[in-house]
Amino acid sequence: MAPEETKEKEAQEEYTYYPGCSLHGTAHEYEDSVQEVARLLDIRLTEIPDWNCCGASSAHMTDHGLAVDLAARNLRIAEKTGKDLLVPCAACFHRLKAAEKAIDAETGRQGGQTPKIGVLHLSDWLRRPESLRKIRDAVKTPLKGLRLVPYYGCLITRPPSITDSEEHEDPKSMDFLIQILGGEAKRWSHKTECCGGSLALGRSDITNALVSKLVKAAVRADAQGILTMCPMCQANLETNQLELKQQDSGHPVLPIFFATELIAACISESMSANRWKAHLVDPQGLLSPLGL
Amino acid sequence: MNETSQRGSEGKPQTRTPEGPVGAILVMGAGIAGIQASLDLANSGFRVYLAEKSTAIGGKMATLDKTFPTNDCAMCIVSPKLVEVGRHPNIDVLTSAELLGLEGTVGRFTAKIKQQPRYVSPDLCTGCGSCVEVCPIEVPSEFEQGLAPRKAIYKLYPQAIPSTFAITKRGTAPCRAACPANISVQGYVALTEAGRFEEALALVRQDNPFPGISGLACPRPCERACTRKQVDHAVQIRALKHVLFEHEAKQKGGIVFPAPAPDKEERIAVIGGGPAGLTAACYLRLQGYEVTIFEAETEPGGSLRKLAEKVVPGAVRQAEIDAILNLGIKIHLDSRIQAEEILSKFSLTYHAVLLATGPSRKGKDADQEASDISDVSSVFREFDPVTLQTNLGNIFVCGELALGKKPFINAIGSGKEAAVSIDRSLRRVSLREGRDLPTRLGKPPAEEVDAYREKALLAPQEKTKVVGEELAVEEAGRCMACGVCCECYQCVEACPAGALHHEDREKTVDLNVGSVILSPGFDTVPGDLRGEFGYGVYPNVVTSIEFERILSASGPTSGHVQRPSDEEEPRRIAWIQCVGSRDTTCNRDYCSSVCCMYATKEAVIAREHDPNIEATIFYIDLRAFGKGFDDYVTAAEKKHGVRYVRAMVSKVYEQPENNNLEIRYVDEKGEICTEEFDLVVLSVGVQVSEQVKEQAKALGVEVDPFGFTKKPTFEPLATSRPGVFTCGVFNGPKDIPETVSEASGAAACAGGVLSSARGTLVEESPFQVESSGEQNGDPRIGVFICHCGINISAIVDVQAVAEYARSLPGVVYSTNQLYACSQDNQDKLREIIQEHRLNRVVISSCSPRTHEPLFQETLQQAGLNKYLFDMANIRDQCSWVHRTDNERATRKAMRLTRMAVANVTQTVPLNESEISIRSELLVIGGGLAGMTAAREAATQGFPVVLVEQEPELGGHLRNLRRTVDGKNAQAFLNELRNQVLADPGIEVLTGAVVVGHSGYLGNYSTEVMTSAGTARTVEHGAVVVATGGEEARPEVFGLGSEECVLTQTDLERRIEDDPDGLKGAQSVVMVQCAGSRDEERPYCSRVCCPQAIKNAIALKALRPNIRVDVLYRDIRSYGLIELKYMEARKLGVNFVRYDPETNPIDVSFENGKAVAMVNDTSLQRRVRLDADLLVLSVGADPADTEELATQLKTPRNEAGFFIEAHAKLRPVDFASDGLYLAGLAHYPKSIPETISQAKAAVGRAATILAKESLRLSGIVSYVNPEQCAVCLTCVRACPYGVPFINEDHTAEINPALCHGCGICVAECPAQTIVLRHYTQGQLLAKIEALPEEDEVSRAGEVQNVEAGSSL
Repeated sequence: MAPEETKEKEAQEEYTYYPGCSLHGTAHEYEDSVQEVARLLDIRLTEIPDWNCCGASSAHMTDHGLAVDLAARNLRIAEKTGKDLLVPCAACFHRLKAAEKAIDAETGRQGGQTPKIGVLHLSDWLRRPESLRKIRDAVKTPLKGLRLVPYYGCLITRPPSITDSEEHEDPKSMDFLIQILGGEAKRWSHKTECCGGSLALGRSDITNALVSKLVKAAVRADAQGILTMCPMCQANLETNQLELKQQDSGHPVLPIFFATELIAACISESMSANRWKAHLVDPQGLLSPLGL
Repeated sequence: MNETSQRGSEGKPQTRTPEGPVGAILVMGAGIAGIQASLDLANSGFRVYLAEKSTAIGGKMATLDKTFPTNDCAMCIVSPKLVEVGRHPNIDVLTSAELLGLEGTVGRFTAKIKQQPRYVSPDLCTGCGSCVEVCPIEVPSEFEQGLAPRKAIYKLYPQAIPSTFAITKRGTAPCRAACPANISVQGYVALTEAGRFEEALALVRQDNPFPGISGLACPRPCERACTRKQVDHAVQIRALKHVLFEHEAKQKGGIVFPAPAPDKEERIAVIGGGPAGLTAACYLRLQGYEVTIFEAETEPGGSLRKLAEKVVPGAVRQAEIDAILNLGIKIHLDSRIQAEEILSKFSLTYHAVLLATGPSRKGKDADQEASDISDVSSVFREFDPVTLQTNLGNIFVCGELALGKKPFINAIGSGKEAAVSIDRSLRRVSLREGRDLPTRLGKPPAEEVDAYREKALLAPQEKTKVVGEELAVEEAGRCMACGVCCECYQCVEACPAGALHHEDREKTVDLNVGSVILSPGFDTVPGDLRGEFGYGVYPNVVTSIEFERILSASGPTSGHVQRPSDEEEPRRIAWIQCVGSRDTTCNRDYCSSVCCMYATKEAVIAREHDPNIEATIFYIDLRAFGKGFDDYVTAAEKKHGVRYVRAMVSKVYEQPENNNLEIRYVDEKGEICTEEFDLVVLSVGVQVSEQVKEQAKALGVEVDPFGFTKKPTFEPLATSRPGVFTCGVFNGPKDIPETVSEASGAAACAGGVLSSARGTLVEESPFQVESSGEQNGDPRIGVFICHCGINISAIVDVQAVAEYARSLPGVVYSTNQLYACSQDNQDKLREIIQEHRLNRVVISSCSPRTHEPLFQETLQQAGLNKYLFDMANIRDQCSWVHRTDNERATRKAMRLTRMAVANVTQTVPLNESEISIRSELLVIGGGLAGMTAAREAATQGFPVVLVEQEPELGGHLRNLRRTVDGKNAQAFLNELRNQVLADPGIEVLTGAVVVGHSGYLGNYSTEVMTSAGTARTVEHGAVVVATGGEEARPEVFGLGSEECVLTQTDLERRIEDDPDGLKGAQSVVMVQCAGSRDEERPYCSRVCCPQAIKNAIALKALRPNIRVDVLYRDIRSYGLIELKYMEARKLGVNFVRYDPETNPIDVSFENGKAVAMVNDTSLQRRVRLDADLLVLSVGADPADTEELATQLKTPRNEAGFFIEAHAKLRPVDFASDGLYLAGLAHYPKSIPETISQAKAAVGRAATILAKESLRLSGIVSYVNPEQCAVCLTCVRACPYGVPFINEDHTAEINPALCHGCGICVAECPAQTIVLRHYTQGQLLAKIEALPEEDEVSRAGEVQNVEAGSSL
């Protein structure tokens, strides 16, 4: 008798978008998958006009003022849109948040005041139940029990004083994602360990050791692949594994996915032949049996 | 000992004079602090309101397994106190209470207290637990730290006081609140989930006689209100009802109503046979009334008949209507009743008339379909919308006539309400009472809803139509139990005592009190505060408080140490210290004070449970700063093999294969280490809860950023609000003895401001008249065998022992009980004694040491002399020591019981003599402790004699200049000294020593040699020993021989008195534990670390560039002193660790300067420290009290500190009543701690001094003069010097002085001394009962028993 509650038509999600250099360069597959997911889930991303370097790689090591100013310029442009700023790269996110905090401290500005927009890493967006529900409802080809470990690295959630993360030691967004995509999120203790990405050029011995530890821990956790949301982690884990394998043929090698790549693959209507082309560790042996 | 008279009381409660203070105190928080303060106050003449937020008193201590450093069972030592509170005539316990506000000022406060009901009457509840068995709702047990479930109706723990059960209600579930018929929806959903379909349907029928129709056609307002909708979709409540109805049809073949109550005389007419009329008729008939329905149509049913056949099949409708009518309701069909008829006839011939005819025609078109309905609405002018009573009194309305056009479920609801009103009006009780109270909606907290949401997101459930019972159970399981208690009323039916009152409401009371003690206690820091340790993620990471429950015999694993992931016994256990302590990253900058010791205790106890356990404690500094603590830690390390690793753990990793845990840390050599463990225990710190912080704010009590009270340094138990005092962890982190000591001190403060009102509001416990006639007759013995939870019953077959006891001579009654000491069993014991006319009682349980007085008091209450009693200790001496052999342990328990029974057959009633009590207090020692005690006692109105051996008052305080927080100690000392000297209630004897001491509790006589050389006799009722101590001067590191070497106190004096003299000093090296924690002075002196930090900060203030190095073993800046330690480090003071064995300090002297060489562990290299001044933290020595101790017969430890009666719960008492101790004589302590303890000693002494008289024990020796040979053996043997030769030339023993030790009895060559209650006859009877009576017959069976076995 009582009419079932009618679902309100949700307004289209809209964000200002900051790709950063990685997504326009080495991690273009991250960029492609982010754009594909946004398109499929009807999310409008508007790239910041005339954006500049976030200052992550060298500025913050050399000049504090410059590091803040570089990121702050991007923030100021983004603020004019009034829309929250979505950032897929962990390092960009970190710099932008650091700049936001520096500005807040300087101006005494507080959350909720204008002009102020939210700075979200993609994992912040993913952590929202409504985002997960949206993805869940759109899954066409599930992961069917694919065993994955979520790997967040250092910059996405830590330190909480910068990132505002409420679960900085045990983030869960990708854990949930894996499950709603139909995969199995394996528990491991290395979610937020460092991959050594920042030392990749100068001290590759340290980076090698850290990557080896991570990949071996993932294998011990019975995972078939590693999920990331950071272009540095992804590249670092992938390339170093191959090097480790060269040194020791028994060293395990796992495919490293961007979370958005798997979302796109699972919710897309059609299979893209080029989807996994950019991967140095070919995941197709793992995915093609699932129809991905 | 029984109090018989209270000083200042006239035996009856008095009304206070309008101007005077109120002789009552509010104590907020009933942990051990609140309990101790309440007992001290109530025992010294005040009325106490003890308010507690949970449903039982006991606090955190009750949840602990054992306590350090004595390894006493926490429950065993606290439970006698719980019971004492529970039965104290002058303590009112208010549970589930919250302090809303406090008006007024000291002496006259009004406290507004909000109290949630228990929903169970304490007067009726017997504690049988039948309600718990039937309750369908399970929630995590807060007492078990969520490791085990409890029911919605519960007792917090078995020994809980009050022992009454309580129900957790969050409020009315939204489904029920939304239901127009007010059906207990959550209740029947819960019963459905439990598969209890019949009870569920019966519950529906209590409010709705049409579950069949409703299960198909109800518009479901409940589902619209369902909280589950916020998660995914509402619970399909209507469908469940349908399944219940179908189940009944299938199982019973039809509808089953309960039988109506016996017929009543009253007759009721119901006009209209629609849903409202039928409902009202149904419930009135079930009450036994004679009910007649008049229906205008040819068939009953009204609007129910308009429901479509495809929605509600006619057969269902007919069955339900028939079932109602078959209850014995008369119905007249086709019978249209006119309005005039009702007024002229019905209202006279029927006791009540209910108008349920459907909508009124008033103002409507007469041609409407409803035209065939009689317009009865003209009968009345108005009606009450709540009671449905019209202005005509015995005429009521319901259904659409009252509500207008509404769905049938609303009509059912109003029919039911009308029935309630009619019943009430016929019973002549208030129609309105309890019916128009606002509904408090119950909803799960947001976190709980979020957790459901997360679950639903990850494992979405399709909304499937509920068909069949299996799906119904599953669907019912989706209910989120909004109200916690589901109001299924199964407990009401199960309770044999009729104790349940679901309709109780919260109440607010105003209490008139003179002062307030805040003892709200603490929370443990949440385990997930430090995410890197994986608490809440890795199953085998537990908090220390959870581990206490795992260790506890009454805990969720029955004391079996197992890990959560697989219930395997862990072999390697790690403790991580300082989780949420000494951590600025999470706003817990302070040290929690207790964790080092409790972790040590847990490690020791875990190893006692299972010697295979390897225990490792990861710590920063080991803070064993209390009395006996260093010995305890040494024993843990050396004797129990506990491993201590000085390292802060950086992270815990879980091994995916087996849930083992890998700990990563940096060791003292700077190496990164990893180690694997089976279980990790987080030593979580203490914190003040947010609620308490808010409450403090509301009361105007200032707290620091962590929530601890701010108070004046020299009034450590005061708060910023006059008349409001505090004790326990709210006053700063601390352990149990300090908490207890502070509690007694707070009691002294709270009572002190009200001393003129002492005795004005107390009640005396009624003195029981002993029914002496029966007591001397043939023994009628009752035997009670206690399970002690599982402490005894897990090993000993208690039932078999109870049955066996029944066969013993003289035994007329025997039973076994879960906890003989619980209050309900004490009540039972009293009843059984009277019912079975018992004149002897034996209880086989735990130790008489803790429980004998309790049982004896109960005997007295039952009119029995308390000496007609014996206890057999079948726990400590049987079940605990024979864990591996149940059968023989059981036989031993029988034997011990048999001996106790033999003993009581020989007992006789004994008289207890009454002595008067003097109100004077003697304080020995005129230092800070002594002067504080003297002042406090004088304020309370007790005359004081203060004896000091030095020519002036002040003691060691004269040497100190500043407190740790920088306050001027000398100014305070001068003020205090002047106050003492000016106080007319204090007689000060300086330069005087105690040379003789005699007398007994309440009547002491002490000889004092004054400075003038004359002897002086002081008569007094109690003694406070405050003989103090001084800084040691060991000849180490050049102290006494090198000019540049001085002690911390020397330095303190120079900083204050001669700052310019220090100008030349460039560098200062301090050495901690110099001559302390070594062989000569094996204890930690507690005050040296804070003093060194204080002096280092003062030096830095004097000369910011001065270099200060502190060489230490463990920095023991416990509690809030940690903040000072941090301040010192921030100022640039260097702290370098040394170890006398592995990294000793090498000190030499060059040109009048000191050179200290030591390995700096953080640098991993040897450093040379040149010091202008070498300052030694040398520890404290007690004053020489050897002679005094001999005179007072008070024990001292090896170091010369006096030994308190019990390290945990009697920290300021001596074992002998009437003697108390305070200050350095007890153990080194800070200035505020000394003040607290001195006040505590007075708080304790007041429990004696406030009384006019006392009764003494009957267990005393008696000399039979006829056979006395006057050999003087007893005179020489008595350790208390009691026997003397009297005028008749025989030995005599003054019963008031005799301690009942029995030494004279054993020594007397003529065997003419008898120790009452331990007579030769009793002992012989016991011994005769000792051998196994069937030893010979069993010889074959037990032939493998070795001779001399303990069994």
